[in-house]
Formats: sequence, C-alpha cells, structure tokens
Amino acid sequence: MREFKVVVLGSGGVGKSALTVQFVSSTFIEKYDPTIEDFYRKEIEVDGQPSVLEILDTAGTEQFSSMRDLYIKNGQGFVVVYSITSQQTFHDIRNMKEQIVRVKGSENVPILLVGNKCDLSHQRQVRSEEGLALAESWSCPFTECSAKNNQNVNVTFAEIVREMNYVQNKSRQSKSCCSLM
Amino acid sequence: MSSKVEEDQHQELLTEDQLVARCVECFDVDEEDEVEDIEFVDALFLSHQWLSDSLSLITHFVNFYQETRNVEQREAVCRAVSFWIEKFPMHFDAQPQVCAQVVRLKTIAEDINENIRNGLDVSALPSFAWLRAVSVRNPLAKQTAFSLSFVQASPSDISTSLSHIDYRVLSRISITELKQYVKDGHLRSCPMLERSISVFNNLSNWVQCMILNKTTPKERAEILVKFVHVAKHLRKINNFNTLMSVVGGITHSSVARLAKTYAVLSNDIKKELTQLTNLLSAQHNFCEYRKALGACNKKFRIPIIGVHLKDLVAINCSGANFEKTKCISSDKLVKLSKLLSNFLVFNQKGHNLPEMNMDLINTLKVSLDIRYNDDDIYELSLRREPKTFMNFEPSRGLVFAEWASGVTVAPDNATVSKHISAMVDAVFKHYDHDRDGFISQEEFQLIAGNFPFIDAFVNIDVDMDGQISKDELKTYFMAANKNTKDLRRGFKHNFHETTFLTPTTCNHCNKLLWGILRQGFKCKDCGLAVHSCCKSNAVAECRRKSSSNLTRAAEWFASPRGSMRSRIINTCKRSSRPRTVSAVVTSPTTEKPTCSTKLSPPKLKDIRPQSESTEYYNSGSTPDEEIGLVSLACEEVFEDDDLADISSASYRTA
Repeated sequence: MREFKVVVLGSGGVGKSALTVQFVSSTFIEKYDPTIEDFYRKEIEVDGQPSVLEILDTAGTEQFSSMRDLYIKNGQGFVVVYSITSQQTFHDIRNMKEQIVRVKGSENVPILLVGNKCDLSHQRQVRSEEGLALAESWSCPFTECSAKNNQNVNVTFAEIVREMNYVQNKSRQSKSCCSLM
Repeated sequence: MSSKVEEDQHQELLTEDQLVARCVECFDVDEEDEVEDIEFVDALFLSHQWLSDSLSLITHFVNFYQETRNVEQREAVCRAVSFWIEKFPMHFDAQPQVCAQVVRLKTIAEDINENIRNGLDVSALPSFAWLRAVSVRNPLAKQTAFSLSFVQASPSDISTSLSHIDYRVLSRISITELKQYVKDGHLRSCPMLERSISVFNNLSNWVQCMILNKTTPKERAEILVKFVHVAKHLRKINNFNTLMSVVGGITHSSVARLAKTYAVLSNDIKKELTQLTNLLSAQHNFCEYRKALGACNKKFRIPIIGVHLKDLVAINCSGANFEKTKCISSDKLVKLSKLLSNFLVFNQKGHNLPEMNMDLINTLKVSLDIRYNDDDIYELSLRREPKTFMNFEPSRGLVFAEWASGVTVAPDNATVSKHISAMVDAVFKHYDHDRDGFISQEEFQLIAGNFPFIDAFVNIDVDMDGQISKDELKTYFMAANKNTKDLRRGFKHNFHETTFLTPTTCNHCNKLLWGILRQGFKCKDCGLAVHSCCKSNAVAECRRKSSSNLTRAAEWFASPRGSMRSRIINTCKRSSRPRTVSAVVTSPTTEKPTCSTKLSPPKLKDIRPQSESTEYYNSGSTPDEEIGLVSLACEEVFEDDDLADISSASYRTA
C-alpha cells in the first residue's frame, strides 16, 4: 500500500484544520486527540487503489517561516487552501506555487487549489472563475468545498492523490524518453 | 458494569458549577493530605482560564460554600481553594478582585477548623511582576573572560543566551492572546505571540545569513558546524523551541542547496544534523519530538510553541466549543490541560537555565532585531553557489505576501533603541579596555562577525579619526535597523563606472560599449549598462533585482562618503605628486580611509556572481583624472534629492 505525505497550506483562518479534521476524524471521532501519532493518517481508496495519506496540516504555524519550509521539503503533495469569503486569503496564496517550487527544486510538484467555505455563498468574495484561472496558471486542478458541511472533502483529498499519481507517472515517462534517446 | 458507568461519567458534559462541585467532592475526604482524582483537580485549575477566568471560578467556590449546609463540604471548599492558592499562586498575583473573594471566603468560614482556614492566605504570594515588565534588569554575572564575538563565544554560551531570550518572550504570551489566535488564525491582537514568533523567525534568518555571509564553502561549513554544536546544546538543556528555529535555519532551502558547503562537512556532523532533524520531524504528528518532550516531563523544558499551537487549533475544531455551550467533559478537560501545560504561561515554572550573561544576551538581541527579506537570502544563496556553471541569472524576483514570509514584525523604535544601547554598552564594556570611550579597528573586527553584512569600519567611523565612539556605533545600528523598513528607492539608477569583460551593448542607444577598460557605466541595482554620454538619458525604470541591506547601507552612508570625497579633492589639490594604489596601501593609518574610498568595499563584491565585471581603477591615472572621477562621483551623489536632504540633515547635526 502506497503512502503519501500531503501538506495543507494557506493563510490563517481559511479552515485548513476543519478540512483536515473533517477528513481524518470521520472514523474515530470518539477518541479525538490531536496529539496522538496516527491522528493525521488515513486510508483512502482512489480509482480502485488503496493509499495511506499522512496530512501535514499547517494550521497554527502559518507564521513560522522555517517550519513551513521543512513541511514543504518533506511533503509530496500540496493542498493550497483559500476561503471564498475572503479576497485577502486568495491574494495571500498567489505566490505559493513559486515557494513550493523553490523548496522542492522542481517544477513538477502535485498541487491542488481549494476554495473552502463554499456553504457561505452569500458572503462570497472570490468568484469560482478567479480560482479556476489561478489553477490554470499553475497547471493544477481546482475545487471548491465546505469543510463545515463535509461537502467535497473526500473528493478533495482523492483529487490530490490522483494528482500525485499523475505527476509520478509523467516523471517516469520522461525518464523512459531519455533512455530511448 | 462499573467501568462503563465510570466511563460515561467522564464523558458527561459539565457546566462550570458542576466542575466546581466535582472538584469539591475530590477534597471531601477523611485524610487531610489526600485528594481524590488529583488529575481532574490539576486540570481544572490549570485550564480554567482557557474556559472562563479566575474571578468566575472563585465566585463559584464561594457560592457553593454559601449554598451548602454540610460542614464536611464547607471544609472541602476551603481545602480546594487552599490547594489552588498553593499550587497556582500566579492566578492570584495582581488580581485584587480574586484575592478579595478569598478574603471574603475566609471571613464567612468562621466555624471552620483553624488549620484549614489558614490556607486561605493571599498576603504572602510570590511576585510575578517580572512577567508584566517590558524588560527586566538582572544583576550582571561577573565573568571577565567572556567574549561577545560569535566566532569566539562557546556554543553553550550562545545557546544559553538564546534560551534566556526565548524564555522571556514565551513567558509573556497571555492566555487571552492564545485564545484569540486559535479562534481567528491571525496575530492582529496578539502582540506578545507575534513578538515570540518574530524572534523565532529572525533567529532562523540570522542563522542562514551568518552561514551565507561567508564567501567560501570551507568558511560556510565552519559556521554551519558551530550552529550544529549550538543546536546540540539546546537539545541538552531541553529548549526545543529554539532548537527548532536553529535547525530550521540550518536546513532551510537557501542553505540546504549549498552542495559544495555540505561536501566539506564531516560525516559525524552530518549524522548529528540528521539526528536533530529527525527529532524535529513532522512525520507521524511529531511523534519523535513528543516522545523526547515526555521523557523530560518532570524537568524544565521549552516546548516548540508552533506544534502546540497546531494542537490547540485542531482541538478547537472538535465538536464541543466551550465558548458556545459552556459545557466540557472531564475527559476533555484533562486533555486540554495537557495541551495547555506546554505553554509557559500556564506552568509559570521558574527556569533552571545556566547562569545568564546579560552582555552576550544584549548583543544577540540586536542580531535578532535585524530583519532580513526571504527573497534576499535566497538570492544570496544562488550567488554563493549557482545552480549550474552555465546559469548566472538570478531567480525572478518574488514578492511574497506578508504572512507568507512569516511574521518578522519590527519592534517599536523605543525597544530597538533600548536593545542597541544595551548592546553598545556591552561591546564597550568588553572591548574598550582603557575606558576612553572608543574601540579600535582590531577590536571592532571581533564583534563584527555577529552581524552579517555589517558595514566596513570606515563607514561606521564617520568622523574618520580611526576609532569608533559609542555614538557612532549607536547611530549606525539605528540606521541599519531603520533601512530595512524603507521601501524601494524608486526609479533612480545607481550607476558606477565599470569594466565589462564581455561585449556589452548600451541599453539606451543599443550600440556597443567600446574600449578595453571602463567602457561605460552599470547600475548596481538592476544591471543596466550604458555609455557615459547616455547615462543621463537612460529612461528605463530601475527594477531592482533585490533590495538588499547592502545597497541600503551604502545609500545611507553616501552622505559621509560625499563628505569624504570632498576632503579627498582638497587633499589631491594640495598634492603635487602622482599617487599610486600601492603607495596608498602602504601609507600611514590616516591614509586608510582614502584607500577604502577608492576601492569598492569587499562585501559588495562578495555578493556578485564571478562572471560579473568589477570596478577597476587604472593605477597609472593622473591626479587630474582622479579629481575628475571624484567630482563626477560627487555630482552623481547630489543628483538625488533624497540623498541631498540626508546630507543637509547630516550637516545640520554635525
């Protein structure tokens, strides 16, 4: 069974923890303890293949620059979250891909752009088209979800698994092309 | 069956009243020294300020006392409050209303046993005033053979000083700030938390800059090794927070990419660094760190505040929110207290750190007050060890949102001024041996290593008497700190005469720059190349590659340089003999400023790629040509209105 480390990035207050906790807690809500070793690990089946995700939620540590650098270095996939109710949180993440690329040293990094709090449509400040445009400029998938209502949460993490698999396969293909030459 | 009932009892949601009732039950025992379910009692007192406040809790105890008629229960209330006062005295410090309730309880408890009532005493509390003071002056330890220089100070002294700084700022984070941050996710109303995160980030950046400041892989490796030793000592004294910051700096991408530097490291150092990195790894929810933290649970330790902020955010996401429901289960209360006990403000234990030396602490504080731009650090890393030999292009300039760089908030001017004054006093105390109020160039070199990118001696010695006074050093550091706040300089180019080593075209007229030496001018900020006759016509906007401290520091000192250049003109006019560079170098001490003025400061060269051409002066130039060059430089300086204003201000103060 394959294991992936997924880093959840975004500015404070966008709901990263709610998204993460909603995803990992559905099975053992009774013994809720964010300090235990396997709290952030969960099995997920995507397209018939089982995987184990370890979520590195950066909530609470957004302001610690070197800690985030370490997270990115050890991460394999990146879920970049903003809140559709706050234009500022969307503005804050515009350069996140450049930072990830800088730390990873490669342009081929699996990223998923997520607009959270889509249940608050009456407070929407960021149009879906804006999120989609940024995702296109990053060449990555885009989705909107609501952690509070558990809407699209599992779909979000399934999508980052697909993206990690896709990037991995793409990397293999380019290697085989080189060997042919 | 009984275990099931007990389990349900622990999960039952309790109001504050019910929590108090449960607590009183724990003290309602025959033996006076015995407390039933001490874990719950400790959890309630430790965590109550997260749920409500001390006045509310003591009021509930008093009300409970008044409502019950049972003498045993009344005695239990008194014992509970006595326990609270004895074990958590900080909750009663500078809390007159809370203390008044204790006095009231003691007054109405007339019929209670004298021994029990005596515990209700808030008149002899230890003082916690030092936590609320902006700064605390401690008596200086008498250590005459103590070095303030980073190179000469021992790793244990550095780590001890950093630990004192960290302990001080972490202890001042209030419960209110923690609650606000966990709820909102930002720092707008959390100044002390912001300050502690700023110290964390600035330390990380300082570590990176101290390493990148060195020009050769061997020198960088030496600094890196020193920081690994500092990290090992931090681990030894269980300061995990500062350890995370230092290791975060050592392993930061801007340092980790230096393959040549890492190649110089010995396998032992690499192994030690790997062990420290694994200890702090986020893998499996920081389980290695949590194990190490648990192993020293009885001793003094400084936990990684970022990890436990993360835990608080996660637990706040769980269903039960006390703010709304005003209910919490005893199980959750115990878990909450375990989380909160990782923040120093909830423990208020005195530290057992090794004895502090205020002078080294004051010096390091100034180092940590200087703020560096993430982008500048990365650019410097690329210049130290380019990605490939064929690629000398700096990376595209990035402007991160403020939060993305991590908070490095500027301390207010009063705090900075105080830190700098304390540092200057420390430096002069240790290096001004004859107490004449000046330090020499040799003495200055010792301390300069603590501050990456510090200016050369001659730029700090503004009156050029060969010595640095206290005022000169203070003025320099205040300006250096201020410069990091300045916005970009706008559109003016910073042209300097340059010898280009490869064929170069003028950006203005697109024609070749002819000649072998000093073919034209180049802007130091954006790299624009032009003919001397095209210089004044260049219309391209100056888009700086990076706004480094070096450029700003150079700009700041353009005024004293202009002053120096004026003096040089006078000197040259009086001189009837041609002067060569070598002659200047070998001339007496008073001539050194002249030499430095002509030659580019070494640190400016250090940050350039090797392929970039350098300024070059023909040793055979005639005095007339020299005067012309200096005049041209002066004209260039005073073309800039901002600099002219600075010059005027400088002259007025002189």
